[in-house]
Amino acid sequence: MSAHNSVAHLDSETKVDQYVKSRSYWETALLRIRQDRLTMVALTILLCITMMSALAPFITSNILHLDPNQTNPTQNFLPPGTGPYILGTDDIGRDQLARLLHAGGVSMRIGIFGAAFSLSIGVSMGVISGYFGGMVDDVMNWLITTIDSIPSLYLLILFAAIFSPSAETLILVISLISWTSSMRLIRGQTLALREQEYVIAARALGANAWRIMFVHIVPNLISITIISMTLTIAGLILTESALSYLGLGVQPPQATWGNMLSKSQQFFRQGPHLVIFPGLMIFITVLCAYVIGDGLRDAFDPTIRNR
Amino acid sequence: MTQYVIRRLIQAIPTFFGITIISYALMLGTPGGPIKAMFFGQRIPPEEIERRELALGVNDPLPIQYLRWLVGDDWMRRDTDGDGIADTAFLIPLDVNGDGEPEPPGDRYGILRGDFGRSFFHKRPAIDVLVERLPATLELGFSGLIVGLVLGLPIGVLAAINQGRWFDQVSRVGAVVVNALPNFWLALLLLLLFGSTLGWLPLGNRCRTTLDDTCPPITERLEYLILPTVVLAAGAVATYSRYMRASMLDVVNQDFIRTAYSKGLSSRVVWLRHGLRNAMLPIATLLGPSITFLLGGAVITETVFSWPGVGRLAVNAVGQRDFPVVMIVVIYAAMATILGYLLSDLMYAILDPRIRYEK
Amino acid sequence: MKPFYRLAMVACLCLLMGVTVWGQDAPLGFAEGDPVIEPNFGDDIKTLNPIIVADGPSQDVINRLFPVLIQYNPFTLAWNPGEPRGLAESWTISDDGRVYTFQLSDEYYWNDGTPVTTADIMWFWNATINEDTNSNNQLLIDQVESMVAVDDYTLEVTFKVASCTALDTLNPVTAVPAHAFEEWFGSDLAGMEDSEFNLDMPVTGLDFTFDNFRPGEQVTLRAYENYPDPVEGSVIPAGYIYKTVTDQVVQMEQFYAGELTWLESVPQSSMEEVRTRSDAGEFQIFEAPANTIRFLSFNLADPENPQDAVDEDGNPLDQGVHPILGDKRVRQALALAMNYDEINEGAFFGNGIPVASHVLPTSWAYPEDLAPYPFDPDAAGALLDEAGWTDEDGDGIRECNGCETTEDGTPLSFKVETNAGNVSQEALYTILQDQWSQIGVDAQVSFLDFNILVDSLLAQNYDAIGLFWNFSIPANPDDATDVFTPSADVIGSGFNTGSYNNPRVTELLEEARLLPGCDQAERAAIYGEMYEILADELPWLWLSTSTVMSAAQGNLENWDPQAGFARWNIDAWTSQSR
Repeated sequence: MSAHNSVAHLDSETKVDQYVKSRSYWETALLRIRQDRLTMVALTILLCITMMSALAPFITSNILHLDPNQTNPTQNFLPPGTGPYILGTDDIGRDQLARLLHAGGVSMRIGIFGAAFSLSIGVSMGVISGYFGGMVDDVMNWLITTIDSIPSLYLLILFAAIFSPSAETLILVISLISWTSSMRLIRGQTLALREQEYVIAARALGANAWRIMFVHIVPNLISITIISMTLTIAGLILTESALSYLGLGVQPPQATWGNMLSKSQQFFRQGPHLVIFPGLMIFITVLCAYVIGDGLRDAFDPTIRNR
Repeated sequence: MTQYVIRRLIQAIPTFFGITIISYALMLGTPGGPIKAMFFGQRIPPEEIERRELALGVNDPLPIQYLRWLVGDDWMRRDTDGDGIADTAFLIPLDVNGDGEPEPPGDRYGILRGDFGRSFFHKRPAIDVLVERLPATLELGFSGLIVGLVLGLPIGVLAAINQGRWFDQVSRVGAVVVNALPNFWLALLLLLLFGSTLGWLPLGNRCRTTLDDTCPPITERLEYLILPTVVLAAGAVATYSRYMRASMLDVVNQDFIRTAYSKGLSSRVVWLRHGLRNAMLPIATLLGPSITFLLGGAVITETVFSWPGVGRLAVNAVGQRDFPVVMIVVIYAAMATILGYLLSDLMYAILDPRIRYEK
Repeated sequence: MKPFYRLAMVACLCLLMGVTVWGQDAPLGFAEGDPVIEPNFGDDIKTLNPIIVADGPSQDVINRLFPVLIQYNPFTLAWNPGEPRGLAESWTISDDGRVYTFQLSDEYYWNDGTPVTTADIMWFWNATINEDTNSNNQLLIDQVESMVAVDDYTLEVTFKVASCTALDTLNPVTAVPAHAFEEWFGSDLAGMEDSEFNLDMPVTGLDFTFDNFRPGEQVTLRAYENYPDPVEGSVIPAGYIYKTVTDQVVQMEQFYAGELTWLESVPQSSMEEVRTRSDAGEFQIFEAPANTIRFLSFNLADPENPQDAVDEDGNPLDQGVHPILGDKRVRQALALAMNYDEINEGAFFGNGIPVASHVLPTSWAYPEDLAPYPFDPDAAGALLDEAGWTDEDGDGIRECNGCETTEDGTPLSFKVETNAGNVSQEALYTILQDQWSQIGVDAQVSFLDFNILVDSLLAQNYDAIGLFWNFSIPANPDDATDVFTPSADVIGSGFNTGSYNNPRVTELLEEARLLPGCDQAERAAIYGEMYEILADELPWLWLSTSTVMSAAQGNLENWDPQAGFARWNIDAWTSQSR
C-alpha cells in the first residue's frame, strides 16, 4: 500500500523537450537500458514470472501433472521436495507450486490490468484536462482533489465491502481509485506540450483538437506512461496483499499471492514454506517492477549521463 | 498571507462536499445494510425491525437521507406548538410510517452542525467513538512522520553528497527493498523477530497491561512505539530520502552554489548552508501526501500491533456496517488531508522567498 | 564528509543500545496479586447495561458484574438452585406448570451496600417489556405472562403456557441495581441507550467491580473485596482484564510469552503446539466439544420465487421445489459423499468431531444410536442415478435425465455460499467441493462477507449456505422450533430459511415442549425421533463440530474450566508458589 504512494513517484518536473525528437530519443533509451545490467536482470525475472503465471494452466497440467485445486488432506504441510511436490503442500494438501503459479496469474492480472485501466483513465483524463483547460480542468481538478483527500485504503475498504471482491471487481475498484496520480502527471506534461511550437503550429494550421491530442501529444507521453505503468503494477500487487490481510481481498477458491500469504501466517509453525514462498513471489515481483521503473526513468531521461 | 489562507480554505469547500457525496454514496451502496447484520441471531419480529429502521431513517429517499445527514432534519419536521408531535413538514411527510399518526419532530442536526449521529453498534455518538481513538492514532502518526523525516532527510542528503558511491547505492536499494515487502508481512516478521524470538520488544499493544486507568506518559512506554513506528515510517523514510536526494542534486547544480564555491567557501558550508536550505523547499510539499499516507498505512499497522487507533476502528466499522462511524472516520481523514495540503502550501510560501501569496 | 558517517554510526549504535535496554523481562506465568488477563479478539464492548446488551464481548463482561435469577451448574450443565451468581436459592412449580415461584438468596449485595432483592429483577423485567428500551429478549417477552414480586426475596413468574423450556426462557433475566437504575434511567427509558452509565457502571453485584474501559485496548475489572460469597472465601485475583489483541498470530505469541493468563479458545492451528508444551508442564489445557456446529442449509423451495410458509391468514403458500436440492435423495447423496476423515485432517487438524444431529454429545437429549452418514461414494452415486441424475455427456458433471425436480439436461450444479475469513471454513468447503466433484456434483463455493451472506439467507434466494450454529447452554433442543417449523419460515426474519416443513417434526417439537411432567428421558425420546427424521430428510446437513481447547499458564491454580462455563470460579484463581 504504502509503496504505491511513496516510491512510485515520478519526477513531474522533467523537461518536456526531451520527448520530442522521437526516433533518436527511443534509440538512445533502448541503448541505455541494454547497458543497464540491473534493469535487464529485473526485466528478465519479471518476464519469466509473467510468462509462468500466464502459462500456469499449461505448466501445471502438462509439466507438473498436478491440479492446483486437488485437495489431499492426508498429505498436508509436506515440506518442499517431498515426492512430486516441489514446493511442498498447503494446509489441505494442495501442491504449493501449482497454486503459486495460478495465484501468480491472478495477482499479475490484477497488477497489469489494474494498472492498464487506471492509466487509461488517468492518461485520457489528463490529456483532455490539460489540453482544454478552463472549466474542464477545474471540474477535473476538483474531482481528483476530492478523491485524493480520502486515504485510498479507506476508500478501498469501503469498496471492497460493497463488491465482495473477485479479481475482476478488484481490478475495477483499484483502477477507479488509483488513476488520480497518473492523471496529475499527464496533465502537467500535456500543459507543457500544448505550448510547444509544433503543437501551436498544428493548431494554427487548423488541425482539430482530437487530432492534435492523439497525433502530437499522446505519442510524447508514452515513455512517462510506461514508467508509471511498472510502478503502478508493483503498487497494486502490494495493495491486493494488504486488502487480503484485512480479509477484504480476493476470496478463495481464487488464489492470489496476497491471500496465500496472509492466510498462511497462522501456519508459520507447521509450514514455514507456506509463508516464505508467496511472500518471496510478491517481494521479487514488486522489487523487479521498481528496479525496472527506476531504470526506465534513467534511460528516458537525457539529463542523466553516466550512472 | 491571511488572504491566501482564506482563499485556500474557500477552495477546500467544494472538495469537502465532494468527499461527503462520494462517501455517502458508497455507504448507501453497501449491501446488507445495518439492520440485518444488527439483528442476526436474535428473535425479532419484522414489525419491530421495521420500527427500528424507521427510527434510523434508512427507508427515506436517498437525497433526503443525505440531506438529513448533512444538515439535519430538525427543520424538515418541526413542532411549532410544543406538544412533542411534528406539525410542520418540509421535504418529508409528517407521517413517515403511514400509520395515520404524525411522528415526533426531527432531532438531527447534521454533520455540518457537528452532529455525526449515533454509532449503530457502540450506542454512543459517533464523534465520541472517533475522539477516544484519536490520541493513539496521532501518537503513532506523528512518531512515524518524525522518524520518517529524521532518518529520511539525512539519508537523502548523504546519498546526494555521495552520489554514485556505496552509501548512495545502499540507500537507494534499501528504499526499494523495504517498499517491496507487503506491509503486514514486514510488521509480523519484525514482531516475531524482536518480540517473540529475541524478546527485546513488546508484542504489540500501546502499553503494559495493568489495572491502571490510562497508559503511562509516552516517555515511559517508548518500547511499545518502536515497532509500529518502524513499520509505518519505513515507507516514509524511503520516500523522503529519495526526494531529498533528488532535490539536493537539483540544487547543487544551480548557479548560486557555483558562486558560493567560487567565493572560496568550504564544501561543507556550501552543502549545508546553501544546498540544504534550498533543497528543503520541495520537501514541504510532501507534508500533505504524508498525512494521507500515514493514515492509510496505519490501518494495517494498527491491526497487527493491536494499536487502539482510528484505522482499526474504520475496518471494524465497515465490517459491521456501522454507517455513522465509517462516515466520521472518512471525513476526519479527508479533513486531515486537506489540512495537510494547506500546511504544505503555507510552508512552501513561508520558506520560498521567491513566492509571494499576497493578492 | 566523514563527520556524517560518524554521526550516522553513533545514531545507529544509540538506537541499538536503546532497544536492548528497553528489552524488559517478560512476566512469566501468573503471579499472586496479578490480574487475570484474557484476550478479546473481537470488538470493543458496547454497553455494560444488561437490559440493552446485544453483543458477545459486552455480555462476557456483564456476566462478571451482575447476578442472574438462575444459574446452571458448571458440571451437570443443568439449571440448579444456589449456584454462584444465581440468585434463586430454590423454586417451586405450580400444579398446572405455569407459575414458578423463586426464593431468592439474601446474601447478595450491590457494592454500595444495598441488598439485591426482587425489586432489582422487577426493574429488569419492567424495562425489558417496555418498548422504549428496544430489548432483544423477545423470547422472554413472548413467553412470560407476568412477573410479580411477592416480597423482597420471593418472585412469582407466570408463563403463558406450561412448557418444559420455561427455565431456559428465563436465562437472560438479570438483576440490575434498581435504586441506581431508577435514578439514572427511570424517567427516560427511551434515552437509556444514550446514558454515560452504560460504559461506566459504578454499581455492580458480583465478585468483580467495573473499573475502566479503554476503547480498543482493554476493559478492567477490579476484585471486590467485600463480596460475600466467593468460591474460596475471598476474591484472589487483583482484577480481570479483557485485553484487545487483534491479530491471531500475535495473540498466540502473547500467550506463549506469558502476557495472557489464559485463552478460552486456542486456534485449531496452534492446538498441537499448546498440547506438546502443556505435556512439558508449561501450560495447562482443557479440551471439550465446542458448543458450535457447522452446518450447510439447503434451500428446499424454489429460490427464484421465495415465499413465506403461510400467508397472513395462516393458509399455506406454494413455495415450489428447489430444482436440485428439493429431492431428498440428492441431499442424502451429498451427505454420503462426504469423507469426514479427510475434512477432519485438512480443516480441523484432527480436532473435529463428526455430528449426526444438531445436539452435542454433552447434552441430555443426545441421540446415542444416531450415526452420521458413512462415507460411501458408491451409494451416493447409486442414489443420484436413482433420482435421475446421470452423466450422459461424459463431462464429469451429472445432468438431469428423468429427475423429478427439474427439466432434463440441467446440470447437477448449485451454489454454496459461506462466510469468508475463517480458515477452517475455507478448508472445509474447499475439500467438500472436491469430494462432491468425485460423484459428479458441481458445487460452486463462494466465500462472502457475513452481512451479504445474511442478506441472501434471510431473502431465501440461495441454493445452499454454510454457517455456524452456536448453542445455548444448557442445551435446549427446543431451539429447533425456530429453525425447522413453518412458523419460522418468514422471508426477512425467520430462521427456517430453507423452507423445511414436516408436520410430524412440528408436532414432535410441540409435544416435547409441552410434555406434562417434563420427564427428561421421555422428552429425549421425543426429540430423538425428531433428530432421526431430520437426519433422514436432511434439510440441513450437519458437518462438524470440533474440540475447543482452553489453555492457561502452567502455574495458574484452581483453573477449572468446564464446557460452556469456563469462568465459573475465577475469583478463586491463584498462582502456585514457586
